[in-house]
Amino acid sequence: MDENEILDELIDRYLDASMSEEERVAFEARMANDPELRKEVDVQRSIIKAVRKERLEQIISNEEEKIKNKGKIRKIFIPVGSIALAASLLGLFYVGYMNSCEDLASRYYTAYAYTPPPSRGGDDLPLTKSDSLFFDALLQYENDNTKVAITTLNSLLDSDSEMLAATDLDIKWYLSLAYLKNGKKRKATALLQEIAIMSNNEYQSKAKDLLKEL
Amino acid sequence: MKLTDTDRIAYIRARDEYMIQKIYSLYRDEFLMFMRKRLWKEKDLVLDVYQDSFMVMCSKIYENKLNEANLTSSLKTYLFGVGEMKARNINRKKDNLPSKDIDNFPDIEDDVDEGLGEENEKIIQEAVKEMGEPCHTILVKQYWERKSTEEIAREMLYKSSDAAKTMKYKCMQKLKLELKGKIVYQN
Repeated sequence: MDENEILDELIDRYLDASMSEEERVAFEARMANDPELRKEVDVQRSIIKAVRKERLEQIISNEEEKIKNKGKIRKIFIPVGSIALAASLLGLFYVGYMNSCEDLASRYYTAYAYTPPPSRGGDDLPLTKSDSLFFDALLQYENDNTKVAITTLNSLLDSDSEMLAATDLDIKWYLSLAYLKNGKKRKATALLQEIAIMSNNEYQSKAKDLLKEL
Repeated sequence: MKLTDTDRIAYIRARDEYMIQKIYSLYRDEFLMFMRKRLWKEKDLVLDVYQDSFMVMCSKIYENKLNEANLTSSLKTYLFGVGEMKARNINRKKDNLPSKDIDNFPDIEDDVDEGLGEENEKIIQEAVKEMGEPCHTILVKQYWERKSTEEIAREMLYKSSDAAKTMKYKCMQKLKLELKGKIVYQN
């Protein structure tokens, strides 16, 4: 092993934090007096980072591919599966009814735009467990797991725990759409009526329009 | 079994690729929803911001700047904090304002915080991607899989661990030589 090969190994040990405290102090003192060595260390550190980044990019890309494929499978099978099941059990009239409810819900559904509260200057993000549940319910709704979304949104309405990302009104609006998507017209109507009579709320006019269409 | 943040950090540190994918998926959808409003001017960038933030978090774990002992909040909060900082910088750029490294998250720094600077890092990343064999595999085994030279020698059919060590050194020298004319040092 020549001198440069030994140095290469030494730099690896320094960057890997596998030197003893004494060795590390001596190596850092050497670096402080030798700008060329400092550059070598910087380049070697960046090469190691680049190798890791390349692998991480690969892992992420594989996972994104899986997520994309999952979405395709869902799009193909869920409508076919649900239509066939509904037709065999309840007849075509019910399918038509469901489709119209679903169609209404999808026309009125917009992704929830979360407005973060003014910064409190702390080092933590203002999201509570209930906020996470709310976001999760919306994802379930978007992924056609409407029953799960309904259960979660109902539990949030019943709960007293603090929420910063959404209000009861937000929950009621999305719950009404979830009921509608699920064909529960009466429950959706009751909630929409509640929203429609509350003054000065962002969902009021949408709730009124939706009620007219029901 | 429910994983704790300590478990997640350990899986990332151990380069467990299956679990890294799971952890990536775990926070993905909520992060995207969380960032939609913050990046309303550049919605197409939300997924890129998540991927960059996830990589920053992993890098901090690999460099031991983020570990079980110094994690002041949850791993998720840390990840969202990195994303928040990135989103702010994107928005500042869009509004022609200077970017800030740290705002309300003093323990979070960006990934290019030391060494050679962003441009040089990109050049090095490209050079690593374009490396031929066996050099590329040797570097992946040593620096990603963290295999010993004995293991590398066994897996890549070198006669001895010294032979594998010499080969790795030659690969590094070749790469550094290639980078010599491309990297601009700022003193």
